[in-house]
Amino acid sequence: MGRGGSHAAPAAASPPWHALPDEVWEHAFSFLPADSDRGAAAAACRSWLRAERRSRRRLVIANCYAASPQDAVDRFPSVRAVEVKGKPHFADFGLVPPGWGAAAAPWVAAAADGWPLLEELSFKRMYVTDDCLEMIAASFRNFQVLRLVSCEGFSTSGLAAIAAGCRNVRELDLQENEIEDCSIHWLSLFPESFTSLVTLNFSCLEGDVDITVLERLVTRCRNLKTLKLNNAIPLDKLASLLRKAPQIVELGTGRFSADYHLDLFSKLAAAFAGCKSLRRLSGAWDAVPEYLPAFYCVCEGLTSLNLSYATVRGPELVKFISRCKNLQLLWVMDLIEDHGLAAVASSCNKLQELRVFPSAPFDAAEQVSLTERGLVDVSASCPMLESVLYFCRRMTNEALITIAKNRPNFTCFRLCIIEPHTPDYITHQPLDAGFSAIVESCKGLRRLSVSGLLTDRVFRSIGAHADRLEMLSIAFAGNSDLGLHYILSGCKSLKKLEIRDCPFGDKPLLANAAKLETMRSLWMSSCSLTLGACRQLARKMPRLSVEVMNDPRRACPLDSLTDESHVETLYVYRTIAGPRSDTPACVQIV
Amino acid sequence: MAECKSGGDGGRSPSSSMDSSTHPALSTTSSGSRTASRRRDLSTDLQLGLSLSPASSLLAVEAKSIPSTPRNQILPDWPPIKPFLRSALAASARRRRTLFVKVYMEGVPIGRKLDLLLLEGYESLLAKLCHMFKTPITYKLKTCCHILL
Repeated sequence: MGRGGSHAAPAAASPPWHALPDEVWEHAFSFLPADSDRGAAAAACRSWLRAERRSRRRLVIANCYAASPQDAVDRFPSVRAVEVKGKPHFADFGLVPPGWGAAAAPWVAAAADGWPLLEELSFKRMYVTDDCLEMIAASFRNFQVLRLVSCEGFSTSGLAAIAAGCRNVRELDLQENEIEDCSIHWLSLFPESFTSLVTLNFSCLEGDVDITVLERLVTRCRNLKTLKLNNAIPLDKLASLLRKAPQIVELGTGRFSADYHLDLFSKLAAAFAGCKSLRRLSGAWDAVPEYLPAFYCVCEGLTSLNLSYATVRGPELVKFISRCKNLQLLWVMDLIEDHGLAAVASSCNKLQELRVFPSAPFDAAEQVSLTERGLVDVSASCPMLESVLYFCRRMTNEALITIAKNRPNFTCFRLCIIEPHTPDYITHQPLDAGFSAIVESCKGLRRLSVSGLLTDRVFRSIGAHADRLEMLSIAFAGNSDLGLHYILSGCKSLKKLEIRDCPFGDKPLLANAAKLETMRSLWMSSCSLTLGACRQLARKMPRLSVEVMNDPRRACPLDSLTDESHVETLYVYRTIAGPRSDTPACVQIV
Repeated sequence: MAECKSGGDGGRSPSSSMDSSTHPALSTTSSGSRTASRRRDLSTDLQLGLSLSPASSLLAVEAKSIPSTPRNQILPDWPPIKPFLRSALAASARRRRTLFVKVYMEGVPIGRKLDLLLLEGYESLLAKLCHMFKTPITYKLKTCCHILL
């Protein structure tokens, strides 16, 4: 531990800055908001490295294979909150073969050993078993927050272990996980003396839940702020739960009845009237329009509305959303249609994030009138709009250019035109000009997804202009290797690149091999890659892990394939941990 | 779900229903006969007045008669939506009642398929048909005024 010398020259009133004690640096680093800043500080000199790593409390491992669990524990011994992410993003759409990896067990084991004071654990797209959950319950005496997002491999037995074993748990947040139902009443395993719950989210659970137990739990947890129910909770039970937790800030409703009953409506309206702090609302599966007015009294206070599972449509939907004047986040189905979005545009001026999901993504015919018009209207009238995810069936360059001009403040722009290779529906031109306008105008763009008919030209624009772009998703686009070359040789800040079904081959990959080490990962599936190029890439770049995956149903093992064979899926990521040893048969590290 | 209202909120009188005999531009009777081959006539004056329940055999037949070609047979992993949304939509589609009719415009050989239960009333039906066929539609109101859409 460095100490300032009191025997410094009389002219110096305090120790020279480089001899300040570690505690001072630790305190200084606590003001650095971003982990990357802390990392940069740690790279400056040994004493800063020491001070920074010993005082790091929050750690995010964005790729569970980039470093080993032991590396993390050794480097950062005082961590209290960890987030680990596993499978690549395209796993959400079924492109990653089952059994690929991302097991949480090694991380839980290392944490149990090296971070006994751990308070928060968060896993995303990982394989978490009941054993993991049991180990968590047994290993961390001050465990408070468990967040599992898009994970699988566990059941309600594991949840029971958490409920029974974690005395101080504050947050149990289960988002979009595949949870096996073991018919165990896990909720009843929270002891009667247990009152510390602040967040309870079991919306992804398929099975039934004991309502009486839930009601008792909600009643005694006076600090409960977030409650997200699953589809098994009927509407009348929602009303009684709300009466027991009027302090609720975030609510995910259970199942809405398909039939309208006046007395149920009144109960619901009365219950919502008591929730003066409600700010975020989600759920509403199978909601029928007649129930929406029950929410009217909370509309004014809502900042976040997630109706992405609500297949409700018509004037009631639009009336309801238009009352939510303070909305910052809106996720909705395309059943809102253009006219609905026009109403949103004029009513919800504080909107920051909009997501519009497809209600009939597999139908060939257009059943819903949601077009580029809706997005143009919202981008024109909502000055704080910065994040968009929009599924639609048609687009024009003119609309995109208008949107770009209206909203140069976009940080996230994801457009998915449902039919691949769809051109501008008026001019029949590729949508190059439109997306180029987006990247040229939105200087702060961090995330971009492109779709529709696109040539290499758009990638030249993206490579040249998208300086802050960190994540880029490309599907069914481009016409030659040049497209990929433009991206990899440009896009200064690129961290994640995911590509599917594009005519990109070996050359741009090998020519830009060094770029891949500056990125977190690259995913390419159904492109024009050969095994030989992947092998070459691996030889050239030892600190990259080059994973090649073929269809698991194919009999032919990867080892026996020649250099010329086509590679179905390539996943490349930088790592300090060397090649992993838990690959299934259909994955090979070349 | 509530009974199928034949005119939306206000309820419309029979004289406002579209009648192919007075409006040569748009013909719906032909659609009725073309789709009625295997079941009873739908009586396509669009004033259905049907009471819809899940047990209705009319609906069961209707849902099978004009199948939409599901794209997920071609590309199971496109468009990029998460499995939870995918299964929620599938569950919702199974439960959702549909009433498909095929509408033909005179002079156009290809008919367009339309799910009547997705519409709220005559106004939205007319708007939908205008949009689909890119044609103005005239019709008689109770007050005997012609409205050009």
